[in-house]
Amino acid sequence: MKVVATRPEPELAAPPAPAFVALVVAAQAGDRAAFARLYDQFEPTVRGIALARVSPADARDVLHDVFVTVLTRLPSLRAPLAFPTWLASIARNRSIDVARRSFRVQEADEIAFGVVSLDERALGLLAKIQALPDGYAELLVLRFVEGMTGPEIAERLGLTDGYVRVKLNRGLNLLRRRLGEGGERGR
Amino acid sequence: MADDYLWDRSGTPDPDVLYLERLLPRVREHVRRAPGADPVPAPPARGRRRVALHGLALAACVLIGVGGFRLATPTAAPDPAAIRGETLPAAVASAPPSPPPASAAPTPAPSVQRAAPRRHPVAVPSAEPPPDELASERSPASIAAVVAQHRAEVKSRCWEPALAQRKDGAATTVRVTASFTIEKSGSVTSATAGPSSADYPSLAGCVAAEVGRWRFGPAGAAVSARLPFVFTEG
Repeated sequence: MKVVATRPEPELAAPPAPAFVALVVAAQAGDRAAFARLYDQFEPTVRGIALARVSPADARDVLHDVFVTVLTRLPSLRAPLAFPTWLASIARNRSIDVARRSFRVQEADEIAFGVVSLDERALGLLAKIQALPDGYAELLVLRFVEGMTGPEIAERLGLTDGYVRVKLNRGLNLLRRRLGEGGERGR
Repeated sequence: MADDYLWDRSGTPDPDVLYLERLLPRVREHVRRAPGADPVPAPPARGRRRVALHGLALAACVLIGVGGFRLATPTAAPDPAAIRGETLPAAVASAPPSPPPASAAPTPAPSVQRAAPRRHPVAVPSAEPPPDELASERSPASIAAVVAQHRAEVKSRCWEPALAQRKDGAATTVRVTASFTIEKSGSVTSATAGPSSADYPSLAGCVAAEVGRWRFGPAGAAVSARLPFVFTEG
């Protein structure tokens, strides 16, 4: 009989649970302050997901509806660690529902000799981002509208760093092409 | 890597990324929190059926209430402060304030933070637009007046030197469009001009420099403008 010496597997310390997990568990137990903190932490994510698909006016309704849904369904979430992807899924579905029955952001026309406010220009850019193929708009909105970094986006959406990095790059290049030669900055 | 700044704001900033970072947070200004909304109860405790039933009943009431609110005020947005549980009994509301979101942008605070004060037991309705919207707007006519004042300078400082240096066979007409931002104070920022002409290589840069020196009167909001110049010999 051959005895094979086996080296004991080194015990790997489990990575610390993200901070939101404790908040989810507390909120599930009825802790209102914990729910409020979850709202604070994830509001930009939900707003960004909504703004990738609907107008700002509709985005605030999406924001409201999503957190009402979260509030009522949170006790049924079995894996608190999955909260970000679960929340993102609710936000996407609600945004898609709203987008189906509303108009896109009207793109501001820039007229030679005319003047367009920076807000109008921002909304025009948002419309162009929303028109990008699926998957790019959400990441670009989270990066530029919500000001998140790539690693933050990956964490909030439950995606890998590599995926987000590649998508951000391609999305930005697509946007540059859509904005045309010289770009939005009029160079 | 070339995309480091896009990824995590390290490395050399890409001008296009900087531009998008500066402009697009303005979109958040349009996602405002609405004043006043019915409070939403805390989620029911897991595994506690009785409490859960109470919670569901309360949630149903609130959803009906929210629905009524939205029907009554179709353009008003709901008050997330209420959803967030900020309309709480004093004992809970006195909990330490939550830290800012980790993912919050380093850009100016969104207008949602200008809405009803947080931790206020009753959201205070306010239909007033933000100060920017109350202030005077910058009209195209007022811009045109300043442009007219400077037109001769652009011709003498940019076009005439460019003409003097042009090569044989150069185009006799060239179009350059200046893009710039007029800040509230009336100063010009982000002045660029293009396209650059092979026949008149210094013209666009000169136009951008000239426009960057212009001063307009103060107004309630910053605007961006595009101004085409058509230079023709003769």
